[in-house]
Amino acid sequence: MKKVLVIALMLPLALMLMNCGGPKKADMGDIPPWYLNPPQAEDAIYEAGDAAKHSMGLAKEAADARARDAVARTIEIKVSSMFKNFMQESGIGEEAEALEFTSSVSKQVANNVLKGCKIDRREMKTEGSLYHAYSLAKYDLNSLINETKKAARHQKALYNEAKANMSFDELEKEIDKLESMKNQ
Amino acid sequence: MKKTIFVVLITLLEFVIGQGQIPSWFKSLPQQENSAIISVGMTGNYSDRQLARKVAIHKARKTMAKQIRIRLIFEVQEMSDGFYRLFQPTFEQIYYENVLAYVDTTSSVVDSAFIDNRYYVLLSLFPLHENINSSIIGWGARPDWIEKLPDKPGYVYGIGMVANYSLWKNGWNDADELARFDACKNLKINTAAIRTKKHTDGYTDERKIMRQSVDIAVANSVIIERWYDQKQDIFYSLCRIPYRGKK
Repeated sequence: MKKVLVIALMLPLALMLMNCGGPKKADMGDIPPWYLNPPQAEDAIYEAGDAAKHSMGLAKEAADARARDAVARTIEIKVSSMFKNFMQESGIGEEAEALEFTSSVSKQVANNVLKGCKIDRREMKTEGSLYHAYSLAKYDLNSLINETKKAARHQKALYNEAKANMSFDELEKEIDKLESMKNQ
Repeated sequence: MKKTIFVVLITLLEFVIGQGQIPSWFKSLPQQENSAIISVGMTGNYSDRQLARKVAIHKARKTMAKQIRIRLIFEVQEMSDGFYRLFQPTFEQIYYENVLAYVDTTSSVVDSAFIDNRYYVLLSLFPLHENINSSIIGWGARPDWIEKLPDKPGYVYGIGMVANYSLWKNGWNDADELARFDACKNLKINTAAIRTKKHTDGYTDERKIMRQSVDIAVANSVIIERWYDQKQDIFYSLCRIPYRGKK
């Protein structure tokens, strides 16, 4: 009777301890190569995202959202770096208005509508009871150029002082050069 | 006892075979000039064939109304404080009463099938110029569009996938709707995020609030392909939306 009691007490404890390891880790062989090294292309930005959830639908939604968020982050950095270079070359890089302008435009582009940012590839794996989704988002560089120009034109009206100091035609030409920044 | 085992085995066999047999137009929608004018409807298990037909036609009409015009509202928010992550998507779809009324009065059944107590109908808004080649087929091999979406100029595609649904009808319903949302997210999506990162004593504390949303009315959004993974019980749907903008 004692033995049965001990087993009855130990069994739930053992099961609890077995679950303490947390969710099963992804097998490295299962991870899609494009997740670890997103493709590099001349005409597009690629970023990957992943999520592990109990529901397959939710795992897919979360992985897609994270991949798109990563694209938005890359855009912000790319646009901000391009603007900073341009401002420095124009000799107005340190002015407060210019810095604010740069930050506003890059944030607006990144926090704007991502048109044509599509999930190019997707893989779903199972890890124990979890579904692990991997998504690769692709964003067309032409869309980025158009959005950046639109944001710069919009912000131009808000920053009169900065406007007086810079040539917006030159700036738009610089935005067109975003393509040449692809390898940076 | 033997009789009971036999009945259970036959029922199980019917269930397994039934999952694998479908009309060809349920798997791949016949290619028409305007795909939005044809739609499919299906039911769960019904023993009453007449009732099943009525339900399938109603479902096909609703699908057609959504294909013709639908407003899709999607929002997802993710908040993380370094320890916990809260992920909350919301989906809302609005289809139009006048479109549904028009479909109700104008559409007619082109083909139908009753397989394993499930009724399937193919509905057309106008008389079709070509005959629909219909046959009962299996699901076949895993299609390529599951891994990589088709890339055809003038169209945006989206995929819906759901798993482990006890009701076959609900599985397809959700896969179809999610595919439609996925396609519209590929068309355009609003993104916004706030991130903070704090480094203290070798530890990094990262906090994030992310929000993505889309509110769009789309026309001619059609579920053109379906595939069922029998081994893993996963439902896949592929949606196509015409896109006029530059690629």
